[in-house]
Amino acid sequence: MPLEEILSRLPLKSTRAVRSTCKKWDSLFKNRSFISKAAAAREGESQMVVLMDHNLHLVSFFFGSDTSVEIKGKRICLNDDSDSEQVKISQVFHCEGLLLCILKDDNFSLVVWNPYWGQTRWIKPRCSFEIPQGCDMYRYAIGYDNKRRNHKILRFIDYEFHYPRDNVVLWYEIYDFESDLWTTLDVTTPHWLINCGNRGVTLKGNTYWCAKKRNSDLFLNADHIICFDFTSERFGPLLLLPFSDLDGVVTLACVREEKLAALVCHEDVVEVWITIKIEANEVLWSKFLTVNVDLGDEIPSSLTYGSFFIDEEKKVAMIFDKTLDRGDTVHIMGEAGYGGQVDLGEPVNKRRCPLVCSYVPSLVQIKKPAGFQRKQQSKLEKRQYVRNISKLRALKTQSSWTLSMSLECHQQ
Amino acid sequence: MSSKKIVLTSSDGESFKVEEVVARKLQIVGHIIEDDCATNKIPIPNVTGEILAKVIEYCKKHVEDDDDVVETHESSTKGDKTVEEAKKKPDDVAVPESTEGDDEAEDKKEKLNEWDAKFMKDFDIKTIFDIILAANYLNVQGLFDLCSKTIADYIKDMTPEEVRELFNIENDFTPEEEEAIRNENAWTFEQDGKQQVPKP
Repeated sequence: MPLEEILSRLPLKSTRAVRSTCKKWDSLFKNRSFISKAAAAREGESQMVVLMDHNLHLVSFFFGSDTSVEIKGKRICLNDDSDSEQVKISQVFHCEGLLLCILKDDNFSLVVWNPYWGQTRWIKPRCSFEIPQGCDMYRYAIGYDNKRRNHKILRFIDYEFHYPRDNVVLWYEIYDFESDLWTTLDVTTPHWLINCGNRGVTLKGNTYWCAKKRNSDLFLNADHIICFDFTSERFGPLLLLPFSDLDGVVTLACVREEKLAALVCHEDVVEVWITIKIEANEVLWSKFLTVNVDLGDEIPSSLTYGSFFIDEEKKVAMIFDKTLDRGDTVHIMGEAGYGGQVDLGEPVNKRRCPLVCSYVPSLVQIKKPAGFQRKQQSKLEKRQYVRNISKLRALKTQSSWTLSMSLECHQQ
Repeated sequence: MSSKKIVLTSSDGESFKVEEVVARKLQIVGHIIEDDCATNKIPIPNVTGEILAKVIEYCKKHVEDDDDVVETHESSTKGDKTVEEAKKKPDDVAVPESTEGDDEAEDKKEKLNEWDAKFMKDFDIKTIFDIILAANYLNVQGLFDLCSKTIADYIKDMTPEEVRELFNIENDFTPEEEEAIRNENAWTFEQDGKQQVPKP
């Protein structure tokens, strides 16, 4: 007990030396399920993962005495196990040291990765669905069961296609790391609607999205948030966002794995709120920052879609965006107002904004499947799978959209 | 305030007379007092007099801290629950703006931290480790945290050889196993793409 407490207070840079001391100490490190929050906070700098041009970068901000910011970044590479070829990533999500990467391949394969260890686990989705431009219609989240300390992935398609005729495609699935199985969630008449491009943020094992009431005005922006609880495997109620006169797209971010932040930009004003209490069924907000960014043409309108990062201590927001000539940039904003931009270079992909999520290095181990004792899928699950695949296939025959299925799943 | 005295007796027979309010900082003692099964003499069989003296000195200085009482998680007596509930801050209240009272509290906190640092300076590593064990046994969370942090700071820049020497640990890794650990942690943060923001 005392030894564990001492070791848990060591900075991460001491890990190698301490683990090399003896087998008992090495085991103490390895067996910790989740690193202490305090230990991560003692690392000091603000750290995040940025996705640019289908590559991941680990980025740190160092703040000077005023609002000056120094940015350091390093590309981190995820290699395919078989042929050591570096893979392209289309989306990334973070959960306490683990990254869920959605690959840019034919099946939108999933990889769960701990960059600190270099440990990976490759997961095959049962099917995928995309529009001709290659946009993945699925939404993803990674979290964990707070009781069993077991990681899970949520994946769903929930979209109303209006051509060639009104047709709702709705399939919520959850993947369990321990059983290595995908299971259909019992979601048939959801009260929420999560917009197609909305990205969830995982906080303390649960994931939050911006959402709105189902059947509300088609053009209404999301005015609530909703939580998926990975322990009970259920969505909670819709909870109000704090903006009084919402006329813009809200994006969410995680603040030091402890709070949510919500940002909206409307008519040259950027507004950021932070939660002072956040649970599946309740949320309380506190205003963090308001910045007038009326700088003529210097900030393009795509700011409203940028992902962002908050340093609460420095009272600073960093919004990832495109420059007017389509380069990648970060806007720095603080209590003193707009603090300028940092150019991140010119990407090959001119259309996509950089994607950012917070990152905390962690010693968590990615659980491996249980081996030969793998459970069998239930008959009910097999019927649900066949029914949903049939729906997707029927939609395919009515349109030019692509539906592809993994052969393994098909033979299941 | 009650002026009742409690006598604590160490494993080697040394006695310490302390105010009850100080004795309660040793939560294991607090439970005994709370259960009202105490005479005014309480044995502390697992802690030597030398170490118990240091624990008591810390508790006297931190007698006004709420930390130890609030952080009781395994309370099983009604009395403790009452104390815990009374001191627990309602988490639905918005964070109030800073007041002069808060400034005074901050100043007192800073002086306590200075005292803590000076208190820890006098001890060698073995003594600190003995105090950790005592604080763990007596459930004095603040002192436990302080000592754990002190040792962590001490060893954080050490090599494996230095850590083994300090803690008298034998290296039971094979050279291959040691190499494997080294490779597992090869990933480090490097400067790549450094940029400076112009000051507004």
